[in-house]
Amino acid sequence: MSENSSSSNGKRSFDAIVIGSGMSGGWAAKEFTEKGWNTLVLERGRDVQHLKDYPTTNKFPWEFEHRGQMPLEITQANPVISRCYAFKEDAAHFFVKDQEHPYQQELPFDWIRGYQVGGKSIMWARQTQRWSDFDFEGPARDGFAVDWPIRYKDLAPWYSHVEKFVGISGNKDGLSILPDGEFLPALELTCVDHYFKEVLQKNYQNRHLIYGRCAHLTAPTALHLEQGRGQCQKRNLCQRGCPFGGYFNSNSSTIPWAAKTGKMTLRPFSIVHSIIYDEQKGKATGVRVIDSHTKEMVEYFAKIIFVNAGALNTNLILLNSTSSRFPQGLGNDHGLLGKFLAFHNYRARINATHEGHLESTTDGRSHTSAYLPRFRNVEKQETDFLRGYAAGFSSYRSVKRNTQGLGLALKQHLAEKELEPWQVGSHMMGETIPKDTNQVSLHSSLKDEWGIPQLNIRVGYDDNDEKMVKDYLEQMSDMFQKAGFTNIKTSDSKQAPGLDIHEMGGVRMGKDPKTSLLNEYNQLHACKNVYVTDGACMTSTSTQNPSLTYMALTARAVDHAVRNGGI
Amino acid sequence: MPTSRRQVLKQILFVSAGSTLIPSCLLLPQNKGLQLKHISVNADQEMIFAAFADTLIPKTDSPGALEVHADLFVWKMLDDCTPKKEQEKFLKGLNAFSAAFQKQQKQFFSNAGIPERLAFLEELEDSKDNENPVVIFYTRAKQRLIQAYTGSEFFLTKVQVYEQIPSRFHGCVPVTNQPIKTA
Repeated sequence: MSENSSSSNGKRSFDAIVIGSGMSGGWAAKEFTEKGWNTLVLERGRDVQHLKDYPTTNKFPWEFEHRGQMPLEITQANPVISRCYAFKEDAAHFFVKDQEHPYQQELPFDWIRGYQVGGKSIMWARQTQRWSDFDFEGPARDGFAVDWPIRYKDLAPWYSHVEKFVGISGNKDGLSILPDGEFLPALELTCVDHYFKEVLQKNYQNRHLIYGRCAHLTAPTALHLEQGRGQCQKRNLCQRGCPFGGYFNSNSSTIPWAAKTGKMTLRPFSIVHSIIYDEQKGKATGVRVIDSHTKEMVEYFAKIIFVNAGALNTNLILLNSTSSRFPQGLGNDHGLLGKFLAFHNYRARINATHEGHLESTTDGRSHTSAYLPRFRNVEKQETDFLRGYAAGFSSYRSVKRNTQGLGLALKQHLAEKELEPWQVGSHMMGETIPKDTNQVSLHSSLKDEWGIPQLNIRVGYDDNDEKMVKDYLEQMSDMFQKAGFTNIKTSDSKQAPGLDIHEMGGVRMGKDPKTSLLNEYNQLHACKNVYVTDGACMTSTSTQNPSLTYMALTARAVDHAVRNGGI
Repeated sequence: MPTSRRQVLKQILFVSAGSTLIPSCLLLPQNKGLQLKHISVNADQEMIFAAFADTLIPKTDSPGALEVHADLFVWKMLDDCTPKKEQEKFLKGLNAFSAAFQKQQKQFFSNAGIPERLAFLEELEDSKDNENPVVIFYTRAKQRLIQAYTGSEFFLTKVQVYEQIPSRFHGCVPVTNQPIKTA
């Protein structure tokens, strides 16, 4: 890196610095560079270039040494990451192993990370739903956390802006709980999805099964083709990186788009130690970066700093950005930094058999499933727990494997293509309530390989979550029974927080600097040229998959920063 | 005994190549000794398991378990992806299986003719004795071989074709009576 060896301030000065190149960092890079700002994008991991760095993308199942399964040696040495559903032979190289960046679990917490250009946007599950005012008004109505400083109307144009570029497939369902967006065509629901949808319509007021909205190019527009992306081919192998650019990740979309402007400097292997605060100027002037290989510390300077390191690492960087003005971490005048973390509760599942529709099946592969938006406590409080849950719903038929007999008979049986009856299943995505006891802090003595304090994570479930798990299983069982599904089985995985990979908060937005860290444009109240627009900014979690909201908040915040000329 | 048996086999191979006495697996090119990291498997175990695989899913006008190297894949999975206890159970089971066959047929499984092998496996297939280590081994080994065989390139390209790039999804199509291909 030439800028690494250079000691001149000129080469280390930019208009904007973006920390992180994942879902939200990629968006900050795109928006700043499109507006003509010289932007430094810092990524702690290696570079991953679209197409070039997807080593497994075209492999057939039999080409994987263990047919996808991870060797025991690896899973035993990496219990945390091995619990992640996508940590398999085809995508394991995109995940952080347990020992690469250790942290302290004061309560069990599975911290799932992807340290590379593109971050977790390479392996994400691609589900994208807008928030509505039922979500933004939640904390104020139900008396938890603090009131969001924004409402749906503030974010709606930015959702549109992001959706058009990302490409979201979905139907305009006309539901107030889940506002419609700029959609590419949806895939079809299965026959059994349709059947279940009708059962819900007949039996309930507000339970609407819809096609899941997701970041796939079902009909690419000129804007997508210009990115070099094309039609989704329904491989459903997205976690490997897509040779068609059929789903959205930073690597195929925002990062190359930013690079094309000539305004982006991308610096991989750059671990941000802290943000530099200048007391005279009363603002941040740059960041301290540790080269992950040489361990050399370099400073970079800019008018504006965007922190998009991923929710918990963003907390870590701010906590570690101490100065005499901010001895507890940047912008942390009240000790609230790192607190009021929350996540999504994914513990409960239900599975069953559907005996009907035996004359039908599906053909090809779907990259998503049906979705049941939140129906609990929407218009008013109606249960003994706060908020509610959304649910995924899927239905499919597998090929029955007849393993009877041996020799020639067995060989013949194995070739038979008889179908099993339809299997149906659902999982919950529950809102959790941010609490000051759910928090991260810096460990007093343990450091990582680069001399940065390790993160203590203390995030747990509460009584509200337990009640919600119970309610989901009751309600879902009831819905399944009404549909006549048989062999209904419910389960509570009791999985630790974190495995949902939807950790949020710690640097929450709010109206009042006394009770929040960020204002309505994601600026630190106390240091306005620092913006946080990843999961750390979230005041509450609602039930939607969060990435779309991070991207919209990021585009909106960059617009604000640029319109204000760098504050 | 195992060593001497090998020598004997080699001699037989030398004097009467092609004779029905020779286990078919000996002639297969992949039979070059296993390269395993965590468990040690001797040549007899390897050979008996290969014969087991060959009997369970034989070569016809299409490849059988040995031709797609299903036995080697089972060893690999046992070596890399199976907890120690299970590994030990599998190897002990294989030995018990071998000993039981020898006791009944007075010869090695890998040396026996196909009818004798099949007859012995049929007994295990039909057995309800789920406590019997030989039956347990049979069930487990069969399961693993089926996984290996149905996950092989041959199976996924010629029998039940795996589509890497379907380029389509239809949520509701009639079930057709597709002709059954021969594995």
